[in-house]
This record gives sequence, structure tokens and C-alpha cells, in this order.
Amino acid sequence: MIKALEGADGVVTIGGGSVCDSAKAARLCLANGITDAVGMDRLRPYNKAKGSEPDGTISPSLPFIAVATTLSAAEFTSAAGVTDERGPRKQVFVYPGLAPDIVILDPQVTRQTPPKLWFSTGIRALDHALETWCSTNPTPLSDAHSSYAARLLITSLPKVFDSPNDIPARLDCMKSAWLSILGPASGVKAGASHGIGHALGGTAGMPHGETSCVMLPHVLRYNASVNGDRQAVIAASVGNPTTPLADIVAGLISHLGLPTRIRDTGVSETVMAAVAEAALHDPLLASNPRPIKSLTDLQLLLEQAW
Amino acid sequence: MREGRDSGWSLPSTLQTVAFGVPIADALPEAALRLSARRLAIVTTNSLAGSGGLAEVVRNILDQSSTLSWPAFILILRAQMSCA
Repeated sequence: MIKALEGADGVVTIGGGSVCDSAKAARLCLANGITDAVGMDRLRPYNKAKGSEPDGTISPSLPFIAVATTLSAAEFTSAAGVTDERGPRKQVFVYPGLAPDIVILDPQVTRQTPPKLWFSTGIRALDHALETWCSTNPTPLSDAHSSYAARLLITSLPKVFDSPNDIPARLDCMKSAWLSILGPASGVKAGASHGIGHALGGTAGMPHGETSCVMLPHVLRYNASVNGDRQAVIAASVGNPTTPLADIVAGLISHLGLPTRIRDTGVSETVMAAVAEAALHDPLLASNPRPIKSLTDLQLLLEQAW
Repeated sequence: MREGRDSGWSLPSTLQTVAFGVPIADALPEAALRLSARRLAIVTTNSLAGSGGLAEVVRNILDQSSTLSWPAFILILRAQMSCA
């Protein structure tokens, strides 16, 4: 792919997060004369503790247009997840200029997207929005973006499920996925749904969309004792002021025909100890609104999600 | 200053142009023009690259655009991406 891009003066991606991330990484390689996995070893994988400090890497300059077909919102970040086939292991690279220059959100083209992919990435976007809204370090901008995105996702996803040709509802989903990622992309920290999700993805190979389905309601329920007031604002905004937000989200996931428990995703119970151990060391667990102080706390949460 | 719910730093987001609700047939040539990109590589997955699929639709849009002097070409990636 890198070699093929040498003959182009622009790249257009059509697809979701994997396609977009591949183009991000290929443009980065192209700018730095890298042609293979060995060459990529001199790039610096993202380290949450160190952030995105400069390391002499040249930012990509090849013009980049992304046509989104899912709700992953990968088009709006400067992060690229790359699988090293020598491992295999997944690394994330974050550099300035990785994000597409122009993003096209045309709801008509998403009618070709498989429903399960569309809706699971929609719940992933809802996960971004709600963990940003409930974050320990929100900003006025992220509050505006995330609350709007959460309300729109909760109301629009069922409309698309019930009427797949509802183009305005599809566009509302796309707009809210866009808004949902702006908080995390500007430094607002997510919580345990993402932290445990990383562990489920890394240890059990579960896609982000599914990790959000099986973790988000349980994490909301766990956190309700410290941010129930914030959760109630979203519940009220979708017309259910007396229903716990966790129940609203769980009901939405069920309505969309997505898995609501870890065991329904095909993950073996034997890997759950490793998932818990990996999650305990994820930085986003530390930024969960209600502290998860021990492996026992975490295992309890995982048991509820199992 | 301590970072928390009521105080902190809001970091800049990526500056991007977003075309929302604009049909791809209109948005794509306009986007290419804005970026002065004339020879475009289309990157997609197998599922979208079949006959009559979205990638073909996009290539036709680009090939018919008067702003582009070269035919677009399609790169098909596997569903699970890697850069090895």
C-alpha cells in the first residue's frame, strides 16, 4: 500500500476504522521513507504516560479524504492502530497530521454497511460520548459535544434499526459519532468501559464496538453512586427522567440485537483472569469516576458483565 | 492548577473540514479540488470493492470529474489491517 501511494497525490479511504487507520499509517510511513515493518520500529508507539512528545518524525503531507461508512469516528482522530504481523501485536501511533484533511459524511453510502457493524460502532460512539460526559476532567466544549451526541445516538440508532432507509436518522448518527470523539481527541479522559475494553480487545480480541456493548451499562451502574446526577441529565434528555441511564443503554443495546454480556460474544471464561490483570494496568481505569481500587473490585465488575 | 470537573486545560482538536449530509457525488470532487489532489488512490476493503460496490461508485465519480486529470485507482485491503 505504501508503494502504491507513491504514485498518488491524494488518498481517499472508503470504510471504517481499519481502512482509515491503515491510510493514516501508510501516509506516515510514506513521509518518513518507511517501507516495511522493520522500518516502523523507529516510530514511537503512543505512550499514555509520555503523551505525544515530538521525536523528529515528519508529519504526513499526502492529502487525505475519508468517506465514513461506519460510526467508529476514526476519521476524527490523529491515532492509528496498527497490527504488527511479526507479533502479532497491536500498537497505536499518535502523530500530528495523521487525521484526514477532509471527512465526508454522506448517509446514503452507509446503506451498504452491515447492520451489526453500523450499530456496534454506534454503541462505541455512545461509549465515547457518555464516558466523556461523565469524565473526571470534562471541558465546557466536551460537555456540549458529548451531551448532544449521547442524546442524538440514543434516539437515532433505534430509528435506523426500525427503518434502515431513514436517511435523516443515519445522518444524525454520523453527526453524533463525530461529536462523540471530539472530547477524547482533545484530552478528556474516558473511564473503565474503555479501560476494560482495551483489555478485552487486547487479550480476547474483542472489537471495540462489542466491548462497549458488554461493558458500558455495567460501568454506568457502577459509577452511578458518584455521578448519578450527570447520568440523570442524559436520561431526562431522552425522555426517561426516572429510568437509570444504565438501564436505558442496556435496553438500547438489546433493541439493536447486540450482545449485552461478555459470554455472549464467544469469549472463553478462562481468559477473564488475564483480562482483569490487563485492565488493572490500563491508565483509563485510573481515570474512572468511581475509583476501582483493587483486583477484587474489578473482578466484581467483570462478573456482573459476564 | 488542579485539573478536574470545574477547572483544567482544553487542548486543541484536529483542524478538519467536514462535509456532512452532502452527497458524495458533490462532496468528493469538491474535496479533491480543495486539496489540489488530481491523482487519487482509493483505499477500501474487499466488501466495498466488488462490482457495483461503493468503491466503484466513487471511482466513477472521480473519473467523471473535470477537476481530475488522471483516473483514480483502487487499493483493496484485507478486512484485518496491518502494515507489515
